[in-house]
Amino acid sequence: MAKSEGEIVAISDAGPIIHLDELASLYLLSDFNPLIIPKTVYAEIENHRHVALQHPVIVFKVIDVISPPEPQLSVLSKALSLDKGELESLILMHENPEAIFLTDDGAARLASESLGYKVHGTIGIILRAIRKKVRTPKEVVELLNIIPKKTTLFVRPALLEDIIQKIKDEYFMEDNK
Amino acid sequence: MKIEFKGEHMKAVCTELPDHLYQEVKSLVDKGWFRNEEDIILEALRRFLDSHKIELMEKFIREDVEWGLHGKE
Repeated sequence: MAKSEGEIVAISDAGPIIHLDELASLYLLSDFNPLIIPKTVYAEIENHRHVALQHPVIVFKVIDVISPPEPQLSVLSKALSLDKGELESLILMHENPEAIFLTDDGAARLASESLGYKVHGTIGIILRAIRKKVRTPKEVVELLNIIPKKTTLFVRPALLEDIIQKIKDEYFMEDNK
Repeated sequence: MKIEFKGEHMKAVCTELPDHLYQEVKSLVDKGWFRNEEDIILEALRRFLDSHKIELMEKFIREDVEWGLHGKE
């Protein structure tokens, strides 16, 4: 896929889009261009969190996936019980191997890494906002703190605490929430 | 309550589902894809546990933290 210099293509399944929207932080995906989702993923989001599709800044490029999976992906998909949206996302990754695949699903991520693709999830996207200077470390810590209450993303509480502490340590923040 | 299914001891768990999710479950049963709601929930739970091994999920999240803070695109 042709792209301008500095533009990053991302292909996402439903998870990160839903979770970021639950945090009112879907704008963190605004520098991915295009942000591609398979038609099946669009339908999943429409079903579970349709407001995410009406974001004023984020424009999704929706693709109807017709091609069958490559044999290796086909085997991985069956072995890891990938759902249709995850499988179609990985078919699109095969066509755009330089893209970043966004998923919070462990099986989809495992399949993606096995195929040699770059893959990240909601937590990575949120922390990337510090590196990209889109959000301050303090704002990111606030976002991480509300994940358990505001989102359907499950992160083990002690792990979430570790992540928050790491940010505080790296950015010399005071240790109060 | 203790019941048995395919020779395996079962525990009964009572939970609540959002209406829209239940309607999807019911629709799959009505269309004949599954025998009943329990089979769907059992299959969904099995798939979830298969693909969400704790160590793996933790490894992925820690990789994401490094990428998020220090990675390159």
